[in-house]
Amino acid sequence: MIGAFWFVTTRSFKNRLLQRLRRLRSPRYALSMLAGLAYLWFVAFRRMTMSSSHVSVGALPVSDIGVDILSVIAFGAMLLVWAFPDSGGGLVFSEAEIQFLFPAPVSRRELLIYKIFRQQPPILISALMMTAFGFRHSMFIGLWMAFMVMSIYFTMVSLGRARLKLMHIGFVARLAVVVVLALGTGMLIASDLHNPFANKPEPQSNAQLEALLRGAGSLFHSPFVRAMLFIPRFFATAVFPKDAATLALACVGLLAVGVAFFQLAARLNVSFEEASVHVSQKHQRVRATIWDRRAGRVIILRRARLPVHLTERSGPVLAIVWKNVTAMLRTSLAWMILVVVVFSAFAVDAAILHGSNLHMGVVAISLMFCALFPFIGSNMLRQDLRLDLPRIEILKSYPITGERLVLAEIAGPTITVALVEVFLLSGTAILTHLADSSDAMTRWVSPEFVVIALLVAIPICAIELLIHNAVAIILPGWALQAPDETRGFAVFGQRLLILGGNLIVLVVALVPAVIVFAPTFFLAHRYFQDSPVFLVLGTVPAITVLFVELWIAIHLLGTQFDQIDVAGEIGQAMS
Amino acid sequence: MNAIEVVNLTKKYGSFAAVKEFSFAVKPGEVLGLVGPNGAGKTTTLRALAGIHPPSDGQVRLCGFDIVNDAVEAKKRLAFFPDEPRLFDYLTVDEHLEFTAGIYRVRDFRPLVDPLLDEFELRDKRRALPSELSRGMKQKLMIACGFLHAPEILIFDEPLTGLDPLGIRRMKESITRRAKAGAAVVLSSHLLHLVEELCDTVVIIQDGARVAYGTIDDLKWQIAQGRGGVSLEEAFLKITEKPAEARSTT
Repeated sequence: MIGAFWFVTTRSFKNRLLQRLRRLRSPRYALSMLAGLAYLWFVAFRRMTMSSSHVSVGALPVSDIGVDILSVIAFGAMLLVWAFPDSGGGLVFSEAEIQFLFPAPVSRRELLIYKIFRQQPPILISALMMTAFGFRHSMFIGLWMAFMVMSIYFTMVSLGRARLKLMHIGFVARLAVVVVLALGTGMLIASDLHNPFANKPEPQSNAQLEALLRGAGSLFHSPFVRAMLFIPRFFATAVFPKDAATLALACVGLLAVGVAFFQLAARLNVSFEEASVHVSQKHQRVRATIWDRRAGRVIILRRARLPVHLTERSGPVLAIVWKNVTAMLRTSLAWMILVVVVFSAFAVDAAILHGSNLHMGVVAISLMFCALFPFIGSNMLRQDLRLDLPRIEILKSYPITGERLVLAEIAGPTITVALVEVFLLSGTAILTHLADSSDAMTRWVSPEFVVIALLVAIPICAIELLIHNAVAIILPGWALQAPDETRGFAVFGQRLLILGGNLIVLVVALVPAVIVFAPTFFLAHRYFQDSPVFLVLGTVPAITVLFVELWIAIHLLGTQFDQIDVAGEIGQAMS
Repeated sequence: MNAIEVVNLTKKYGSFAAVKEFSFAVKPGEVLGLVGPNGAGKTTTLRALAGIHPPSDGQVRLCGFDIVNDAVEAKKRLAFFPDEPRLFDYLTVDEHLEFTAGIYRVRDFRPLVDPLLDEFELRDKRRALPSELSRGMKQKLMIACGFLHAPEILIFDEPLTGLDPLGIRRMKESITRRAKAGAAVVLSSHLLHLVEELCDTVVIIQDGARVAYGTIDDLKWQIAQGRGGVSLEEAFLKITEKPAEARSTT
């Protein structure tokens, strides 16, 4: 049986790794992996090598204190899990594991062994990452052992809680014992607290600091506390070993403790199968909810709807806009209301502060918020191709060209952001005019300014949305990640590249408009400075350039959409 | 005129040809069954018919309109039902129908909604979101949306998956009724008794190529060679095992 468990664990790990490696044959995945690794190198390894060459901890007993503190934390965690309310003894298994293993002739003891086997790959990766990010003294093996034994302990406690329930010892009794133990240990440590710190001057030198730390360390070495922290200290020493010998000793200790925990868990012989099914289903539901929330799919206002209905004259473009706006009302209206409420709070503040210097400060913050909202809004409102990608088969069977579909998909969020922006800009203009009229800002924030700002904000927001939708069309595999595909260097690299690409494309898109804006604004300023049409003449050519760019981008993305191969990357991502 | 004309359809993924020079035609009112083993190229063929992915070579014409060059006109006459119903998470049953009516510019669609909801037993779920529907109900809603614009061509990929016995019976009745009203129907299914019951003609696909095409009686006759009493299942197994034998001997 253990051979079978070993096989499924190692083969799954190997296949997953090979699948990821095979994907690297595609340049876009290779590039994202490189970006992820480069980031890791700069953030972790490079800093580690630099810190080891420049910073020396000298003779300070930092390691001892680290071990002591970590021992207390481990003790706290080991104690706290006994106070968890769940007493079903359920362990988390995947749907496949439940379907294959639970009806199979596998004993509970073997199921526990299987659980320990299956926990190893993620524990190994976590230990590797933590070693890379700074816990080098543990030489990886210490972290791995600590995590592994802790997970066995948690499994044992989960079953232990279920056994206690069978013995009519419920949550309240467990909680009471845990509280008493925690308070008792805390009081014992606190009673010695005055000794090392009493009448000690502030440390002026390394020697004084060393003496202080040694004193603090003695807190954890009274006989009772030492006894309480005996097992937790194995975990802490494995993570912060002084040298290789200490590490080896801690690992041997952990191994013995781990075997003991496992034997105890197996001897508890609690019927955990049914509870495990419930726990696993709950686990899946929680993961799905988190995933939906991250993707913007959670419905907040179920009955919210547009007051208009579609007719046969509406056509496909309006139908898609209607669908997306309805979706926004149900998923994002609450966020929009929050934005409006926060802004209104600003307005009330400004009204109260009328006449003071703070008034213009609030106005400046409002103006900044107005400038940022087109960018924030395009990230908040994702009811476009980003959310429709899983339904691409149906989208592609609609009687509409790719170009019109892309236009329709970004129109809903653009209109919504524009409406909120109208509110924000109008509010800011009113706030500004409430202030001292001699201020330069008041002269600038005129009704013409509001109109022009809105005319600029709409294409910029549309460009932002187009960039996000372009990722969904050009790199659908990146936009359509499954919930269990959200980790790893490649995915992290993808996010970095998308962020960087987003910035670069936005800047490139704005350059032609800026080039047109500079001379036209100069000329308008020179010849129409006192005319009400000054701002219009100065900015409309640049805005026209932005709209032309948008039209070209929509056309290109539409063509790309028509050419998307559903069976290719999207099919793989959805399967 | 044929409602569906597929001429030498080829779909390649890199160097791999999922469908090779595949041809068939469906007249208005005819129901054609597309059958084949797993991975034979059925879904690829149906997706090419629905304009979801362009053919690498060959032609697909729906009601005379080329699916590549005149995609919008061709798709106006089509309803495609994928095997996995993927609905819009945030639209109710009613709103899905309203949205579909908007997409296909269905005139005065409101009177059409209630009969469809009754037909697919969704009337009391009209305000429900997809998360409140079972898989079978989602499938029914998908089909109701597809029927709303009275399409001349219906393409089903495994239409009975997830339906209960009553749902299966109603589905079969719906397909037959629409075919009698003049719709051309293509359906792929592994349920050969369903194909035998509903379809006038059958095309069998294996390894992306057409291995048999004709009326069900023709195929049975071809296999039975005058002996009679052969089911479509036996005919299918006989036809699809031949290339395997041929492969094993080479």
